Amino acid sequence: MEFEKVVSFYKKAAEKGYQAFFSPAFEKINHFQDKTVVFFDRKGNFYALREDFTKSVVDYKKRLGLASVKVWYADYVYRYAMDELTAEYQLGLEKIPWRDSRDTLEVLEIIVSAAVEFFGNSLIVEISDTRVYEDLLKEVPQELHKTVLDLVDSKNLAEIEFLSRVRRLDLSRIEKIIEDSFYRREVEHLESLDVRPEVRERLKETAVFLKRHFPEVEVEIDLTLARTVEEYNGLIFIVYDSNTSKLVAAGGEYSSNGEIGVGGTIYLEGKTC
Amino acid sequence: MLRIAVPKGRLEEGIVNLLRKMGYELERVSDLVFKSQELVCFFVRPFDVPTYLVNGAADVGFCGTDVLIESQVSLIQPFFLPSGRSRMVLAGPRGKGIPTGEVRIATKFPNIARRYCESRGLSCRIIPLKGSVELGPISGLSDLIIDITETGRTLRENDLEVLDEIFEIRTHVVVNPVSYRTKRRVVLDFLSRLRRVLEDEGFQEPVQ
Repeated sequence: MEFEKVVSFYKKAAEKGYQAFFSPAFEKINHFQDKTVVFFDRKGNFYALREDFTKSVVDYKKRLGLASVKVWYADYVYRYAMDELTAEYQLGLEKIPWRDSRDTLEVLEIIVSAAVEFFGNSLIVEISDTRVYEDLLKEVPQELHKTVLDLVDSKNLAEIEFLSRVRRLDLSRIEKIIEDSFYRREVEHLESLDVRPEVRERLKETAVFLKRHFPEVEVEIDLTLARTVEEYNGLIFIVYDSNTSKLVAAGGEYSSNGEIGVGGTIYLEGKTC
Repeated sequence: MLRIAVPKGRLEEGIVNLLRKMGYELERVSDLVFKSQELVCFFVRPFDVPTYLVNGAADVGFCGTDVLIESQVSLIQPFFLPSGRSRMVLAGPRGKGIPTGEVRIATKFPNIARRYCESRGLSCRIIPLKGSVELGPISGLSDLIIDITETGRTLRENDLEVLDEIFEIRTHVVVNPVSYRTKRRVVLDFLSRLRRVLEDEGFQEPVQ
C-alpha cells in the first residue's frame, strides 16, 4: 500500500470538512445475527470483529446523540469467507444526514479522485439508483423481491422468464432493464431508459459531474446494479479497474438504523489473518 | 482470445453463419474446434454448454432456455437469438385433463418439472427419462409428461394434448460471469458485433 496516497485521501477529505473516525477493530454486540467472528469477555459481554464501517459510524452517531457526522476512516474490516478470515484495508467516507445530491457528488468526487491515484485512469464508474426497483417490484409479491433482485444482479434472463411464467407475473420491464444494461449504458441513452423523471435527472446530473471532473474515467449507467444490500435507497455507484477487472470502490445513499446517509469506500489490500 | 461454446445440432450452422457475418474468419481445426485470430469455437452437446461456461472453459456460449433452467446455473444472459416457437409444456392424454391426487410426470427435465409442480401446488412424482417421453402415458408409466414441443405434431400422433404452456424456449447468448469481469471489453465488443448483425437482419427487439 502506498502510504502517501492514503495521506492524500485524508487531505482531500479534510479539505471538505470530514473528520477522522477511529474505532476499535471489534465492537460490542447484543445478538449474533450474521456475525462470524465473536469474542466474549469475563462478564459475558459479546464482541464481533468489524465487518463494515457504515454501521460503526451510524452507531457512533446514535450513541453520542450527534445531530450530524461527516467522517473519513482508514482501517481494516474483517470477513469470513471460504473458511478463511480475511482483513481488507478500506478508505472511506460517511456523511449523515444526507441532505441532497450535493452530498453524494462530494463523496463521489473524493472517492473517484483517490481511486484514480491508487489505480490509474483505467476506471469505469457504474451508477444506478435503487428507486428504479421500487416501481418495478410493485406487482411482485414481497417474498420474491430478493429473488428477483438477485436475478437482476446476475443478469439471469432465463430464470426471470421462468419465474414470470410459473408465478404468472409480468416481469417484462425487468427483462428490458437487463438488456439495456448491455447496450444503453451511456448518458445519451438515459432518455430511453424506463425510469422516473427524477431518477433520470439524478443519474444525468451525476454522470455529467463525473465526466466533467474525471474526463479520463469512463462513466456508465447500469440499472442492474440492484445492490441487494437492503440499506441502499437512492443513487449508488461502483468503480471497476478495467485493467484488473476488480471492484475497487463502491458506495451510495442509504438508510441504516433510521439514519439517512451517504458513503463510499475504496477497497485496498486484503490479507489472510 | 475469446472462447465460444456452440451447441452441436440444429443451431450449429446458424450460429457459425452469424459469427462469420460478425467478421470472424473461422477456420476448421477439427470437427469440434473452429478458430479465427480473435476467437476459438468449441462444438459441444447442448446440455454441456453451461458446464463449459461455469467451469471457465468458455467465455461466451449459446444455450436454450430449457438447458439453462434445468441446469440451474447462474450465467449472464444479455439477450437471445431469433429462433423457432419451441415451448416447454405439460401434456397429457386428450380430453382427460390433469388427474386429482398425486400425478406421475415423465420428463427429461426433472428440475423444471419439480419447480413447475411446486409453483402450481401439484402433488407429483417425477419419472426421469432420457428420451421418447410421449410413451409415458401410452405405456402407463406416467399420467402426464413435461417436454418440449414445436409444432405439436408428436403430441397429436400420440393422442396427447397440451394442458399448460410452461415457458417459451429461446436461444440465449450466455456469458461466464468471471469472463464478463476479466475480459469485459472483449466480451462487450463481441456482444455489440453480434447485436449489430442481428439488427441488420431485422431482429429489433430481443426482449419482449
